[in-house]
Amino acid sequence: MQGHGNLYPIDIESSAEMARLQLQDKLLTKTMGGIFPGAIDLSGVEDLLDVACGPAGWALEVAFAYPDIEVVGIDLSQTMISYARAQAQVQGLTNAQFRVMDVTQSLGFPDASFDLVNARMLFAILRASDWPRVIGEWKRVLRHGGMVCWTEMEPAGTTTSRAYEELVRLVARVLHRQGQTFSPDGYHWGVVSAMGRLLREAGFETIQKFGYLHESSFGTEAYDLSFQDMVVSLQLVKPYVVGAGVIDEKAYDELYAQTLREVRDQNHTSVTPLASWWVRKP
Amino acid sequence: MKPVQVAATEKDNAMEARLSVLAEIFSDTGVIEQFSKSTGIRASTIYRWVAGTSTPRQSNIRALLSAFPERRAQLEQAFSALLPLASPSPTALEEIPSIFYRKVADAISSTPASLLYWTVVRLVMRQAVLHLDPDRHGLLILLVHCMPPLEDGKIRTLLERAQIGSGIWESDVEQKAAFLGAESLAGYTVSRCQSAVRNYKHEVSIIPAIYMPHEESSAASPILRAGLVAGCLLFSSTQPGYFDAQKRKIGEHYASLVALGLEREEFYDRSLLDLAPMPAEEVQQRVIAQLPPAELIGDNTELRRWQEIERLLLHR
Repeated sequence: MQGHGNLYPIDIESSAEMARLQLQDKLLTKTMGGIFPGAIDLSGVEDLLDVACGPAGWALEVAFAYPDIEVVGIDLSQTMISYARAQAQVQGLTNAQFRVMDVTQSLGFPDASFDLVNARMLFAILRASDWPRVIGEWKRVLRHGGMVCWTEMEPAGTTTSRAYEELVRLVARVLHRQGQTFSPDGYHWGVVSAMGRLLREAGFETIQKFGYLHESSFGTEAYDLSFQDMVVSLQLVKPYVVGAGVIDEKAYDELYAQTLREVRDQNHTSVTPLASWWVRKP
Repeated sequence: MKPVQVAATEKDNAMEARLSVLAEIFSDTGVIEQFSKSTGIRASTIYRWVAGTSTPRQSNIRALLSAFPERRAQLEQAFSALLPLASPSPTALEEIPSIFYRKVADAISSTPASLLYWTVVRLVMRQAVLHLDPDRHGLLILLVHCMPPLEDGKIRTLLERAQIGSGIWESDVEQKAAFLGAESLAGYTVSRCQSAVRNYKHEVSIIPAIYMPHEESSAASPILRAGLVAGCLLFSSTQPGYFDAQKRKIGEHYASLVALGLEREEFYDRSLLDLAPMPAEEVQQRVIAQLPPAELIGDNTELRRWQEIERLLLHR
């Protein structure tokens, strides 16, 4: 299975990105109401694979909450994996292990190694054309009856900040040029709308699907940390967007400054949709 | 096509190694029966392993390693993809992992200036809470800063700038900033540039502390650089007597790491500290509620607002 290099729009070795991903993990789990969406039966799950685990916030939470589940996290970043291992060690989580692995390549596990494959927020690391074979790998490493829990968001949600929407759509446009969206025109990401089809075409059976709205409007519980996540991600993604030539640096900085003003307004509202699909390998 | 063929060959070799060692181990049906009986793994499952139609779970691999020590090397090699790279050590309060120091050093060298404070603070505080409370009994860590000196050149208050928690305090999605002063453990610590602890709520002590709900013990470590102080890390636990000498030392190390993310201008000589007592949090929140919540990423506009609130509270 051929890889195509790292498509992620932010430097994966960046300490700021690691801190942001840790924050994002907490926000996502809070939005979803827990580390697993809904009341899914986990009684048969002994071995769990977390794909593109990053600094492994989610994987370590699972390892802590479910000491009988063996959790394996994989990520392309050596730094994130080393960090995740150290975190597992200081927390005494002997049921968590982490490996450097490229999730866009053939996974280095035998067939039928896991009972559950978890994937969260992979929308920025793959081309649209990669998804079928990546999902095929998830199916290969699952035992019969094993499950996939796949969660994605549509970053181009809805907000009263015109500047923020414009910045997000610039990122979408660049990703679209690289074939990383399912959008017909690069206006949004579109992964959320494609998830069901991709899983069905891979031969999975749907157990349940969940939809969420992450609200980060002014004054809401998640506003403060969502604001931080937004500010950090907009600064970290700037080289990628400006480097792609869709906007110059001055204009980007102006839009960024305008975003801060608009998002700090007491009338600011923002929601971002997410979806989780639970499916089973027959 | 060549890379695809190489990958397929590697996978085939690994599969062959697994099947080979399993076939050797289970060449005798008596061995299969005995292993099945001792582990509770069905014989049919073992046959599927040997046939290659099923892969042992990690718990099964450990059972194999335990039951066939003479085959340990072969089994470890054959199942290397599924085994942990190294056996993790049991839970123990150790030194901060060296990878973490490297990560903070990387942050300082490569993070844009506008994100440095936020990055270092978030990384350090998250690491600290997981390290100091691995069993999630309930630990809250607050980052407390000196407010800039007032017109008279004195620092009169401290401001809570960030928090992170575990257990009952795990939800840090909402951060409520509050001012602290002479009445607080943080104020005592920062004024003296020395760590302090109140391990038992009702102990008689000259060290001040105001306990929040669920808090049974607390400690504070000053954030220092070259003899100057910027604030402190304030630790609260739901467990009485939680902050033994080792934990206090670890807390001091984390405070030192936080210092690396702060600007020089944020450190002050302790002679400038003349902390005033601050009103209770409910009173402060009524005043603060009129403004946006505290945030780590702010600019001078936010600082001016906090200074405005400080003046209101000092002159009530």
